[in-house]
Amino acid sequence: MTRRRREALLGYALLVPSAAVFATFFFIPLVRLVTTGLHQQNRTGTAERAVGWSRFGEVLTSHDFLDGVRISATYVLYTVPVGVVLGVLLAVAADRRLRGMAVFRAIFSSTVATSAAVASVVFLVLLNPQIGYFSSIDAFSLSDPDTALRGVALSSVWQNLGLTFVIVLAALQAVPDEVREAATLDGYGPVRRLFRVTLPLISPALAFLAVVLVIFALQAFAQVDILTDGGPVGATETLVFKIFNSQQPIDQGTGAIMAIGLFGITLVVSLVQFVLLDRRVHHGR
Amino acid sequence: MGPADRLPEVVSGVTLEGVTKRYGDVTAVDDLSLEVADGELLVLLGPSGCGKTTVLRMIAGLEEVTEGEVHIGGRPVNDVPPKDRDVAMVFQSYALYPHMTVARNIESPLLARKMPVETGQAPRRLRPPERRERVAQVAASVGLTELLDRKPAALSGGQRQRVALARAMVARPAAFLMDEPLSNLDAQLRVQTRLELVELHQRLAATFVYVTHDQVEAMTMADRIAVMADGRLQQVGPPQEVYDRPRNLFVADFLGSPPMNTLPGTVRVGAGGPSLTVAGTEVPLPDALAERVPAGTGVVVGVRPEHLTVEPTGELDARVTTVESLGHERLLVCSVDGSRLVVRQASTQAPTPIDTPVRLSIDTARLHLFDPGTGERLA
Repeated sequence: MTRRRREALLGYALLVPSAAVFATFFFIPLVRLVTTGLHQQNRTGTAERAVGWSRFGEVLTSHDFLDGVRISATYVLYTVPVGVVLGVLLAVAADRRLRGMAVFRAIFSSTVATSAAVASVVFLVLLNPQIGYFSSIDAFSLSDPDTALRGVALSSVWQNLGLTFVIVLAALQAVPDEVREAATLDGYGPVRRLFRVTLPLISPALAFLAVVLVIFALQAFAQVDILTDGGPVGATETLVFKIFNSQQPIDQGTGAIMAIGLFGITLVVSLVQFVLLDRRVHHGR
Repeated sequence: MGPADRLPEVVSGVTLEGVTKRYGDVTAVDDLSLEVADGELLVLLGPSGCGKTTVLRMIAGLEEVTEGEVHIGGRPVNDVPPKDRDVAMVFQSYALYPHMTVARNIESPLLARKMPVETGQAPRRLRPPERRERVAQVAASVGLTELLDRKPAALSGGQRQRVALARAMVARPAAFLMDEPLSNLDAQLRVQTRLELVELHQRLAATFVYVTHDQVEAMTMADRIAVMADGRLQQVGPPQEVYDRPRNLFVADFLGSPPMNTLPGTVRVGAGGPSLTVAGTEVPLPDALAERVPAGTGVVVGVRPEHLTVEPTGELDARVTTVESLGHERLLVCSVDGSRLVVRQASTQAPTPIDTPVRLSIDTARLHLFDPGTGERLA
């Protein structure tokens, strides 16, 4: 065996563990999704027949799928911009050397340790029409089809705030003091300093957050399940929720195709975001 | 000439009156009074942690003054925000805006600040064409014209340093505050930039307050040096004066490389006139020195390495233990009666082999005598 060959073999051998993990948790499920989508099962799941690729087109253009996309997209719009802005505001407020600031930082970041289920239950109580603290705020009412998605978004924004806060605060603290001081000497007030110096310098962190929060929003499930169960009248049926509801054997093919659709959307959105943001973002020095 | 003909003198110097800075229980700067004349280049010199940067930051307005007053151009500025103090600062790290081009970096101080443009008119913000012109002018004066569209990441250390300088110059401030601006440059570039800074100071005729821990920078650049230690001002004066007549042992030791030799001694008055017992030997003491120190006083004797010479007729018995050759000169490390003395010698002189007994002669007129208790200069 030549030396080259030996090294090549060793290389492949070293790839085996990660290939195995990827195969088990990514490639095999993906292939399973595709094959599930290509078959139609009977009502009890005891028999299936091939239906072919045409069903992909049917499902991905169906009213149900497009409705899910619309609701998920709306959910992204409700959660991501507000989430980023609030996180930046909180982090800017907490990025000072004041006595007791550590307490506020701990409080602001505490939602990192909260699961979506816990956050949802908290907001289920807060938004409860009878006893809820926010019951009088109609803009977030869970029982109105026009506002229910906002109520769900509220709990997501709150739950993601801790993560956003921690990441933005870490980025802010990496901005050199001397650069801020130079800006102060140059006559920049706090607002101008924030927009012209600080935010551009932390833009890589903001870009990262935008991507992550969009993916979170596209994958949000527990909030919808606990707060509205997709209602009222399907107004909060996000794409993930629709996929989850396709559990009956007879629906599984449709659900599988929708899942592939969601995967495709997430992939494209993330890629576009990376490309767009990378062009505008200032990276380090 | 009547009083009306006399214009009020334009003062753009910096004055500190009893300035103190405390952080909790720690006193960083203690009761510092200092006057920097208009157009002067004053170097604040001291070891790290001596408070010199804090002084600079108080002048800039980046730190509040705990006690005392800061005046710039004759105007008290304790309560004036940094941008209205008419000063520019060059930071040790340069503190450039990494996301802006060189041109935008230099332009930055012109964006928000109002400045006098036409004589007799109220200060105003510059218009974009005026700003561009100023930026181009300043960039040309420090050789950055070709680099205006680059970002700081694409510049060398020396180029970044010049951007920082240009940004400081563009608003034509009354005073420039420089915090170790050369410390991030390599040795060769540092020497070159040092010269350029001196030339810049002469050209601008502005007040410079320059912080450094490098005594060579201080000696070569300063009109006057202010030596600081432990938050206190130790001595202020022209470089040569501070070097020749250090006011205490700290200044004597800090200025000069290698530092001044110090060893214990006693002043005596005998039949042959005043003398100094040092390293077991008696050397005659000039009257000028002796008359300030009573006989029998124990002193710390300071002698600079260049005031010791190897001579057969020398007073001190010594043994050369190490020789450091620096090219143009060499340093002989000698052992004298258990003490260590460094002798500076031109390399044109015949070399002295290691471990040979030699005799050292002291230039007694250039001796320094210090109080062993307080470290203050006696003579």
